[in-house]
Parts: sequence; structure tokens; C-alpha cells
Amino acid sequence: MIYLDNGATTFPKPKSVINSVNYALRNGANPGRGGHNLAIKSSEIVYNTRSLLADFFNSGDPSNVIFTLNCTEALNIVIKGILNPGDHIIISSMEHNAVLRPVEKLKEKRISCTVAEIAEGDSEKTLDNFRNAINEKTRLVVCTYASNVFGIKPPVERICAMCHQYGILNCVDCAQAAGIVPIDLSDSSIDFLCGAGHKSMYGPMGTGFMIINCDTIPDTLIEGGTGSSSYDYKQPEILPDRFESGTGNFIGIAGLSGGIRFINSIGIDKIYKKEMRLVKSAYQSLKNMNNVVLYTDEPDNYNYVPVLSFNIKNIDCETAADILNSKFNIATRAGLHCAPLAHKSKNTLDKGGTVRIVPSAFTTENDIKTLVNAVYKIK
Amino acid sequence: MDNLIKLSSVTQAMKARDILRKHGISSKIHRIPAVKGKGACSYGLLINNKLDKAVEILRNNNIKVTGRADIQ
Repeated sequence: MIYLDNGATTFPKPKSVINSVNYALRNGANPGRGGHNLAIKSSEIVYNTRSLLADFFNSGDPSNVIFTLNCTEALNIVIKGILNPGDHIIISSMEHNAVLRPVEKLKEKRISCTVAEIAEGDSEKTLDNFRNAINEKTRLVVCTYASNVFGIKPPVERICAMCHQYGILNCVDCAQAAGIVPIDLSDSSIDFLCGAGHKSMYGPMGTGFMIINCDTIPDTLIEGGTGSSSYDYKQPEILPDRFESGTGNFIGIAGLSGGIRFINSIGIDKIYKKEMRLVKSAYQSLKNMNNVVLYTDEPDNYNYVPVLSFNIKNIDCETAADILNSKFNIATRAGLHCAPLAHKSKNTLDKGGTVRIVPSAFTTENDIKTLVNAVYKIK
Repeated sequence: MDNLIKLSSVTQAMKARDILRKHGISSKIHRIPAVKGKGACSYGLLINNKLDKAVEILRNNNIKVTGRADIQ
């Protein structure tokens, strides 16, 4: 199979991930609970992954790295833990349901929202749209680092810096960018970085993280046992315990360390350039086909991540993806990609979405050529 | 006899251990049992010597030391 659904989760996983998972399964007890050797060993594995993530994003203190089940949970913690009744939030027009749905839920608690349009290729216009959406009640801005449907990168750093000028907190959904685009939090205005461990970080599914890069600590989403301060009925304030109640995905966290080591062994810049070259190659071939509709400008290395959406004329996207799968053994993702806002902004909502391809470090030029030839044959 | 530096969680204990290691002080993670009124369910570091220096280093690195004790 040619696997181009890496935007949903990367496949295959690197050997380092498989080895780490295998080791954890054979050597893992509950971390941060007991004092016996196996528990301490497991705690070391979790701490090692936490430290690797802190180094990967240059965020300093590993305590500020919070493990979650996925990026959605991390975003929920920030959105629901920061906003209070009467507050206002701004989200971008490319947000995933991981942002849109928590915000919709909060509307029941008198929290209002404005959607700021991301203008593709026009940073100034995008920035103006966010600035114009600010009002005296705006408490939080949530923006994707890159669209999970169209690969478009808004000027996130400038948006976050603008937030600070207005005394507003910001949160960035890095699900589709972490592991592909270098992000240096020591030189960043990002307050909360939320990421998925199983996408371009190459870890197992069921892993996500939130990195706190500011002095504001959100309220908790859940409370419970942390293995610390157990006489105290109240949730500990100390990080990361405050947000890590209950037994976490220890096996997944161990695997994530293998993913980070895999990226570091190749180099994130190299991975990004390679994947962008593949997506550009696909774009250039597909744009010359009369039966194909593309929705973005040609991707470049500054304004896009390696994510490409298209449709085949007169064939709905689900059927096209089904043909690619059944006749050509190519895995793509069709539909709305859990991002109706993004499809609305590109007028693909009524079409039922698009076919999306996302390469990984394992994708080859031949894979892309095979995809292009297959699309050419579908009429 | 070992000296015990009490910390608030296993993450803090491991962070503290790494910081002390950079300063040439070796230590070992140790589980602190629940004792009512004296804090509970936490972790600390066992060190052989340089206790005062270790505590000072940790405080300078914003690591909260919740207590210290001698272990027989």
C-alpha cells in the first residue's frame, strides 16, 4: 500500500518507536506511583520523553510539558481552563473541530466567539482580521499553526505577538506542524502549544501534549490521583501533576520518545524540505490535469506545510478516495477532515470536502508518481 | 547514613537530580511514604553528602524543596 494519510496518523512507525513500545511493555509498571524499581524505571521513561519534548521545542523546564491523550484534549484544557463566562475568544477560519466544538460548548456559558479569516498568502490581511476581531472582552486567541486540510500556514508568530500587545493569551494548534516545522518556544510569543504525538511526531496513537510557555496556568479539566500530595483533597498545583490525573498512556509516551529520536536522527529541516518537495511535485502534476481541482496556490516552503487537498471533477471525494484505495492501493483521506470551517472558507463544504494527501518521512517520489498516474486514470 | 531531600513529585525529583548532576552531585530517586502531617506520597533524592549545597543549588534553580531528613 502507498500510504498518504499521514495527516490522520503517520504510518509506518519508525523502528525506534516500535522498539520503545516493546521495551515499555516488557519493563513498565505505573510511573509516578510506587517506589519499587520497575515503577522508578517507568517514571524515568516518562521523564525522558518529557525532557525530549522540552528540548525539541526548546521550551526549557520539562515540568511545563503536559501529556494528554491527544491534541484535542490539550486544546480543551486550554480553552475551557482559561475562559470564564462573559469572555470572548477569537479562532481562525481554519480551525479543526478540536477547537470549534469546545468553543461551541462554551457558548452555553455566555462565552462569545469571533472567527477571523485566514487570507491565504496575505499575512497583513490575516493579521488585520485578527486585530479587528479583538474587543474589550477578548481573553484568548486560538490559531492553527497550519491547516490540516489545505496546509496553509497563517502568520502565527505575528498573531501571537499581537495578542501580547493587547494583553490577550494565545494558544496554537500544532497538530499538523509539530515534527515538520521547527518551533523554538524560547524565541516565540506562543503561550500554549498543543500537539499530537502520533502524527508527524511519529509516536503511537493516544498521545498528545500541551506545553505551557507563559505564567498563566489554566484551570483543570479533570481532577484525580496523581501519585503526589495524596493527603490533600485538592488537586496539586504543581506541574505537570495538576493536569495529569489518573494513569496515563505510559506505553504511548514511551513510543513517542522513539518518534522524537527518529526526527532528530534525520533532522526536522530535512524532513520538511523532502515532504514539501513531494507535495510540490504532486501539485505541479495535478494542476495540469483537466479532471482535477486544486484549492490553494502552489505550496512554498514559507507559507505551507506538506498537506494537499484536491478533487476530481464530477466524482465526489469519498468515491475518489475509495477508487484510489480499491483499484490502486493508495490510502488517502476524503471528506471534511473534522474541519468544516476550513472547507467553508474554501467553498468545499457543499462538495462534501476534498481528497487529502499528506506524505511522511517514508514517502518516496515513486509513491507520488503512482498517485498522480492513478488520479489521471480516474474519470 | 544518607540525606534525603524531599520534593513534591517524581518529575520534580528527576529534574532536581539532573540539575545536581550538572553540579557534580550524584543522587538517587527515593519514594517518600505517606506520613500524615508531614506531606505524603512523593519522591525525593538520596545523597551522601553536600546536603546544604544541594538544597541551595535546587532553590537557586526554582525547585521547591519540601523538606529534608536523615535516613538511617
